[in-house]
Amino acid sequence: MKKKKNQAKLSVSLLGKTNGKREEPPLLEIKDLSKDYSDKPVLKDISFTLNDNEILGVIGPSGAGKSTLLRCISRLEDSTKGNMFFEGGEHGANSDIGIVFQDLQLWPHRTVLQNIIDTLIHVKRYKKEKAIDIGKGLLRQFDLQDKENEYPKDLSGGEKQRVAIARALATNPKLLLLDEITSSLDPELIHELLYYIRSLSKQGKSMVVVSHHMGFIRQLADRVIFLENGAIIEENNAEELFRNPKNERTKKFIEKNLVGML
Amino acid sequence: MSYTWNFGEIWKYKEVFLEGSVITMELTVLICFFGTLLGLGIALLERTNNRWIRIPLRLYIDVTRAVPVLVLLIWLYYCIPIFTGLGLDSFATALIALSINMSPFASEIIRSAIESIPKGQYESGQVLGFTKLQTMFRIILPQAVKQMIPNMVSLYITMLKFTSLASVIAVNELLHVGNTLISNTYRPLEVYTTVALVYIALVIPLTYLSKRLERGVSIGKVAV
Ligand SMILES: Nc1ncnc2c1ncn2[C@@H]1O[C@H](COP(=O)(O)OP(=O)(O)O)[C@@H](O)[C@H]1O
Ligand SMILES: [Mg+2]
Repeated sequence: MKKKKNQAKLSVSLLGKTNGKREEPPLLEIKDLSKDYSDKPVLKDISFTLNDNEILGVIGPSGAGKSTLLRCISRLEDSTKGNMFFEGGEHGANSDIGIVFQDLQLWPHRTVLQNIIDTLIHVKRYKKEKAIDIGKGLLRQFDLQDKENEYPKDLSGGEKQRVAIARALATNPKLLLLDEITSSLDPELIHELLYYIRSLSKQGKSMVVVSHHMGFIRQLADRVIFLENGAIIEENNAEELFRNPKNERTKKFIEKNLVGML
Repeated sequence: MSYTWNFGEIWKYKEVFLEGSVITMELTVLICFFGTLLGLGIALLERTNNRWIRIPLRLYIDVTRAVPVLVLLIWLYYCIPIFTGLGLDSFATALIALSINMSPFASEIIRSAIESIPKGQYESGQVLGFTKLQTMFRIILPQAVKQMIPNMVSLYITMLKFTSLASVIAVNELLHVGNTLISNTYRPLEVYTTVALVYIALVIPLTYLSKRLERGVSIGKVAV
């Protein structure tokens, strides 16, 4: 009897990160997530966890299900099966998760500042002055101060990307999902983007980053998942996965995409 | 065939024509306002999956498209007082009839403009926590308006011309003013020519405006 109690105690302290404190749940935990599109399986039993202030890279051939994965996490799509926990709780659509789409979907009829603050005003119901304050702070952070009153169509590709990221960050989400945001940028702009995203990471944001630029992922991500045909083929810390892929298919994919190395 | 035109006789009545034109314009503006509003309502309600909304709506659209506008006008003129006991004046009757007649066409224009906005724009609102209604009114419609302007202006022009039908229920618009003047002047040719010229003067600028808007929209220059 006594022995059993001790054992239980031991396992708790092994699991817990800090002395005596209750264990913090991971920011995002995904368990056996599956998604079918009309009987066609697109995601198959995906499981992983994402911790606070961690950047998870997702790589894989086109059609692997990377976008679908992000869409499920952001609750744009309902999963067919499986569970998702956000900070330990069952998560619904909420402003704790921001997503930037590959095609950005900026609002062409709104100025740069309006694109960023509309959510604060209409969803968060902030006072206009407060929203503008936050919006201008984001503009500064992304070096867009002098674009405040421009419309998206008058911006360069890199500027549009930054506006889209700033818009997703307006509500200060803990988790940011980035889907192929490098795809339309030339290498120089990818470097620039890397700088801005790193600064977000320094502020403690967690991210799931999908990209087919291996260099981008390698320099950014803490951990990387290689996804193929809707299944996780390999998961490892970034350096390890790129330097020393365990799976033959991961290796092939990385070799094929070396062009994307910075 | 030697008819002596005498527009001098008509010129005396220029104020009467002006009043008629004002009524025509007032009627047109109100019809376009309510017709567009009805059309927007239909276009938005059509998007629901609720069949208790969809079926009556479909019926309304089919019926209003099937009835000739002149028949609708006369029918309402005689039937509204009988059914409701309300003595509506002819201006209000014309306004109701023509707004109803316009509504399915307006809804068609609005619907296709809404559908031209990419799905990703809806999702951009959804992921940021906008409600469906907010997404529609703050993100989709402002962009759709730009798409619908040329077709809407054409419809407005059609409605302007349709207001002449209101003369049959004695609305004091341009054509009816002309009709009454004939019994004063006995100059139908001059009167109808003048009436036609006034319509031309009203419509042609609008046509050019619509053409300009169309061009403007296609090269994305019109900021709405
Ligand atoms: N709405 C949809 N309906 C049906 N199939 C879809 C839909 N969206 C994506 N798919 C399919 O799911 C698979 C994964 O797509 P996606 O997640 O976009 O891949 P990736 O982003 O890795 O290129 C593809 O085969 C694609 O054709
Ligand atoms: Mg994709």
